[in-house]
Amino acid sequence: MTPLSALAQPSRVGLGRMMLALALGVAVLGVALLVGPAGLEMGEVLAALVDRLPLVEVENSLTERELTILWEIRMPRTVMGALVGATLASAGAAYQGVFRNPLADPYLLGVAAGAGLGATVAILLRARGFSSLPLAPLAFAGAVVGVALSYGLSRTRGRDRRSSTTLVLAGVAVASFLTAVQTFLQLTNVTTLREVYSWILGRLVTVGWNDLYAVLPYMVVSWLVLLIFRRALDVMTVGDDEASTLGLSPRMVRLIVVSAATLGAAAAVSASGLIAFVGIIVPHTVRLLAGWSYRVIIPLSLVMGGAFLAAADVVARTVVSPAELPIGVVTAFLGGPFFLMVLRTSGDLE
Amino acid sequence: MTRLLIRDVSVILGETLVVDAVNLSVEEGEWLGLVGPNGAGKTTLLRAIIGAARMETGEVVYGGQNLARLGARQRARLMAVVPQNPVVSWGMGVADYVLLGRTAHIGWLGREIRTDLEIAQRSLKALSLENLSHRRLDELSGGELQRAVLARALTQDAPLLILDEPTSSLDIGHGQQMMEMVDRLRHEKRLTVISALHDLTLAAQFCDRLVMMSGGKAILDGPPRSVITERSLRDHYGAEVRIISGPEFGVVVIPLRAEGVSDARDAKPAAGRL
Repeated sequence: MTPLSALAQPSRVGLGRMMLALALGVAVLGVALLVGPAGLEMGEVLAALVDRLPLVEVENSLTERELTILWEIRMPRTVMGALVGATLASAGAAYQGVFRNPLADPYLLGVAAGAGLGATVAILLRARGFSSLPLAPLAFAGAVVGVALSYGLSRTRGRDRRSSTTLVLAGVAVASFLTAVQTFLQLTNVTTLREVYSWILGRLVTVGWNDLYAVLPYMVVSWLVLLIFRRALDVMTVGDDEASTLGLSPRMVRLIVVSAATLGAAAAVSASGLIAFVGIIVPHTVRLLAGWSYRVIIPLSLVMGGAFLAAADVVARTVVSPAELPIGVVTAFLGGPFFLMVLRTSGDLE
Repeated sequence: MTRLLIRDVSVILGETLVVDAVNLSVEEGEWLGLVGPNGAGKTTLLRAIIGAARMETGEVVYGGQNLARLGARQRARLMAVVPQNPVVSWGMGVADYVLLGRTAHIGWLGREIRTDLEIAQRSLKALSLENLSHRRLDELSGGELQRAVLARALTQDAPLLILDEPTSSLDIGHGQQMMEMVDRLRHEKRLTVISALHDLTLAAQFCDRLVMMSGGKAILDGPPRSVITERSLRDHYGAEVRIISGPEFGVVVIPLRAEGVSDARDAKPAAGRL
């Protein structure tokens, strides 16, 4: 008889795999903190980091200016990159699970374009006297409108079954429409053009601790919900009808998971601008390496997504140094070819 | 005795009345077979019973509870379903697939505990799937896959088993084995079974009672010999058949050609022609 311990083995996150991913993540964060025009010494940076731990005092020879660069510029930027990457990757994995579509990601379903429009409206309203208007809630509202439109439009034909192709096409159409509205608003309000563009092209350059604290709660809620629902996502892989006969309410799971993923994606996009393909590259890489189960894909996507975007930020900062590439350019450059590869193999991943 | 009552159930799909005021009662431990021509409403009636098709009128009551008022989780603890065309998830292993059957018994924050694993293990054993437990679903043959789906349903530990055309994608041997397994399991676990079946001979051999549906209505209801008759198959299937019955094989349905068999020559073994 099959040993009990071996029965559920394939769907467990192997401790070894998780430790390996975490080690990779820490290594990438370390590199991200060390790389930059200021040329900080590795030993000194490590000493400064350890010195910040409670009850530990370690001498380091970093100057006041270098410490400011480390704590106020590189650290929040690196941490924000990791948080955004983790959130977009886990949200992408969740969208793929609930929509049963390997090509679904926040960008394709109009979430990012919706958030972009929401953020643009917020920036315009700020310029018109609502100076204290926060950007994140409007970005979130835009994201919800984006995904609701994509989902609703893909559902109008063939009531019982919505195909992957229809969903992706609906997402592309909604994203194009929302982007068109955003562009129109931008061009008719040239005074805010610079601020909107700065947001669209990625804002990790100007990230500070306050930006990070503003979005962190949304992201944490998103992660927790997706981690809780990772078994439900496994059940959803057999389709709505079968999931329902197994005891799950697919509508409720979809509503909760999409809300959580949208919350996280909206928070990420509102903090960092539009960053493409993270939600596809990372979950599919995890899937190819670690298997089908969302019990593996969600936690590993969180860790690998963080590592990936932190690494992409290092590339963005270094390839044309002292200038910088927008981080979205780097992820799209890597993501484009990868996306084509996923398209070619999507028959297997579906 | 826990009885399943189907009372005045009607289902409209689009503008078509697909199930028309069907009334049925199924006793505990009974195997009820739904037969009927294509489009008779068998699958839609099953979908109404499991809550997947919206009923225009009527109710389905099990053990005094109206199933429509129960949530998915409570319903899944009462009835397990073997779909006609199960969705096969890419890369999923047989053991994990069978464990999905425990979903209704695991809380939102929970995971499989020892009891769940033991029940899944018993299901794998009951369906001789132990050696395949780590194989991927997409690597299984049609017969093995159907056994895995039945094992998942068994793992739900529900007293009602609903099967929609369980032998439709199987050859005669695997179809027969599948029906034997269901029959053995229902006796061992005292399951109540409702199945839509295309193969009338198998339906007559295994079911305690058959209901013939036609045009959305339950036309005939009774023991297989009284439902599967030359006249009922002519009237509702438009088929000319001969029925042979005997105590050792039940009822056998033989289709007849209008002008006799055109090629009456004995079959010859295939020659070595390339």
